Amino acid sequence: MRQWGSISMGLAMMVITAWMVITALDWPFRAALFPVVIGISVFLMASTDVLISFLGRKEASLQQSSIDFQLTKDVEREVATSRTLWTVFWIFVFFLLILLLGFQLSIPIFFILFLKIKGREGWGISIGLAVLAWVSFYGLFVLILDTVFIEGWIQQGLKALGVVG
Amino acid sequence: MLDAFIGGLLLVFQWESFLYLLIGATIGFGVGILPGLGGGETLALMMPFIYKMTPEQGLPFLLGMHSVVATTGDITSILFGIPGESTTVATIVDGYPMAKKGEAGRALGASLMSSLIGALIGAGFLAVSIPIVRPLVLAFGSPEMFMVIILGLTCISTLSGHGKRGLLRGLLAGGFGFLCSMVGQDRQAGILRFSFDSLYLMNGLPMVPVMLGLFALPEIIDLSVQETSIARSLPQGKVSKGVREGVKDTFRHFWLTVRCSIIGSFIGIMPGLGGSVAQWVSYAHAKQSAKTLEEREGFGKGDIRGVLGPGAANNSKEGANLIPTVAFGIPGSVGMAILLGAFFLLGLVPGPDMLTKHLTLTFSMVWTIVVANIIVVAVSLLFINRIANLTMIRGNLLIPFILLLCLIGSYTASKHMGDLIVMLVSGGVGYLMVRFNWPRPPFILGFILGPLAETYLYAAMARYKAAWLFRPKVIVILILAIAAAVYPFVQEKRLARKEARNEAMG
Repeated sequence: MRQWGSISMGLAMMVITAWMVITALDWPFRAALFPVVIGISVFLMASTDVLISFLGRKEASLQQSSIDFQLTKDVEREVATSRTLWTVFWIFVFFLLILLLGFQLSIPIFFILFLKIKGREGWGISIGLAVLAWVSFYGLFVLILDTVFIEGWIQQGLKALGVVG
Repeated sequence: MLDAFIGGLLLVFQWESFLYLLIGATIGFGVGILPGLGGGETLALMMPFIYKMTPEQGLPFLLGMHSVVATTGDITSILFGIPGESTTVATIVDGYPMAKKGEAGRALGASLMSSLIGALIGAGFLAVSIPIVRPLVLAFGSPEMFMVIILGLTCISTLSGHGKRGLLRGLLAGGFGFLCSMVGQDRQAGILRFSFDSLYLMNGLPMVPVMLGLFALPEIIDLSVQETSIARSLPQGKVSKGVREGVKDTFRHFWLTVRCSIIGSFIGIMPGLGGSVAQWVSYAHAKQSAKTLEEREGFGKGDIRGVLGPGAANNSKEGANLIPTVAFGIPGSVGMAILLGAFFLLGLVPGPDMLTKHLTLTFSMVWTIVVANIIVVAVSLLFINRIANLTMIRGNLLIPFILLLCLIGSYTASKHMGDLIVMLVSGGVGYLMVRFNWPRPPFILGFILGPLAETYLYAAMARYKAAWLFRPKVIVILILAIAAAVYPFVQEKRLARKEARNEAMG
């Protein structure tokens, strides 16, 4: 049985390493040595992996599992895919909020949105945890560690327009 | 010598030194638990506070903090599948599956106790090896150091997948890690490589966001897919029950713990290698200790030996890491490089002086590691039930907190929004690797050691041309690397033959 996911991963690796090696060939020896040596080795290994996956050899399908964290298998495939996509969506929502509003504002907003909509939690828990997260963030990273957090695009835009000082 | 040894102990228990040690250990406790906030970074953040301190105050403060970070870093790795520290990634492989099975308490008990034993052995190693280690470190040149890195990568590649395909994918992932480490300005020629003319990528891909993305995001997604707590629907009391069992496990596998501590110590004294390598080599050793094929396949699914090995090595390498730093001024890791800076701030010059004039102070460092770890392990064991019960919290309540820690942890790498993008992209790569059975540990090892490997390879080529390949020590290490790659297959075949024979005999 051919494993299209594995084949795609291997092909992607081949394309990336080929591009890296070709790019590195234009550089002086000092800078090119390591990328070329490693790039060619990885390209050859990726080609072998693709070939094994393409031929669908028995060993490939039976023994390819890595000794690493395994994704849960006791949830139906469709349900798992849908939940995965929703989680990725929420991760991007948090990232976009940070980009637009900065860390300080986006933390409570994300917590309330996530806990209310995704977690279906009550208002008490949602607001309580949002406050806890914000206080922990502000106390540790802003007050104690004095970490500089850049403002979001909206604040920067408003400042540029002279709406806020 | 004995006077200095006892003098060091008394120095640690002077009330001011002890107070600073306690403050440092408390900070280290928190830093270890928080993913992304590394020991090295915190050491740097604490530097301004030591300007007015004496060496007797400053060293217990900094070392007390640094030496316990790996101990509590294991807690996050086990409970949430997120590396609390870059040196505690290997603990996830078996620790997190144990937490999922409701054995978080057992894994934590084993991890803390093995960490303590590791720290004690590492400190002992530091104490006895200072006079004898110099020739060993100086005997390794660039070619040998390059080969040591290849050996480390081969070891972990061999053991991170089943069969020949596993080895191929392990090496492939390690090579990909090497390639990713090349992004940014090249150290030899100053050329910008694979940076797409981005100013942010000039300094390369930051390690913390890459690690957080690669290891934490797939776990967050999986936790969300399950829609349960980390320990799923296991009965409440079960999680915290195994602490004592975990402590007993450490003594049940005492020699494994000792061996892994010694491995950690040996790797610790090699400048530049440190905990990132020590944890995986010791994990590999723990896996090799499996007597049957069935036992071996249990690794990665929650084998206690997979927690004990890295736990012990992580901490034993701390003491050993100090050896090249104190004796030769060669920092063994990022943390040690910062600590080296602290030495100068405190008016100390690493080198012969530390072994003669300041010998008492040097031994006080040994005792600081011992005392700080005993205190932190005791406190952790005292509150372990409460910590372990975190795995019973619903996933939906945990996910935003874990995500927040990942995003802030990533951002602290270079205070740039690019850190968040790197974390998200690495998360995507990590998810695909998990989904299609590509092992992540070799990738991260290649990524961490890439710059060092490149420097050593270039230095070897520049100095010896191709002749470096024929240096006797290089050949010996190469043979060791090949043996490391071949040994699991030989062992597997032997075990299979043995089991078949046993079955035939009834």
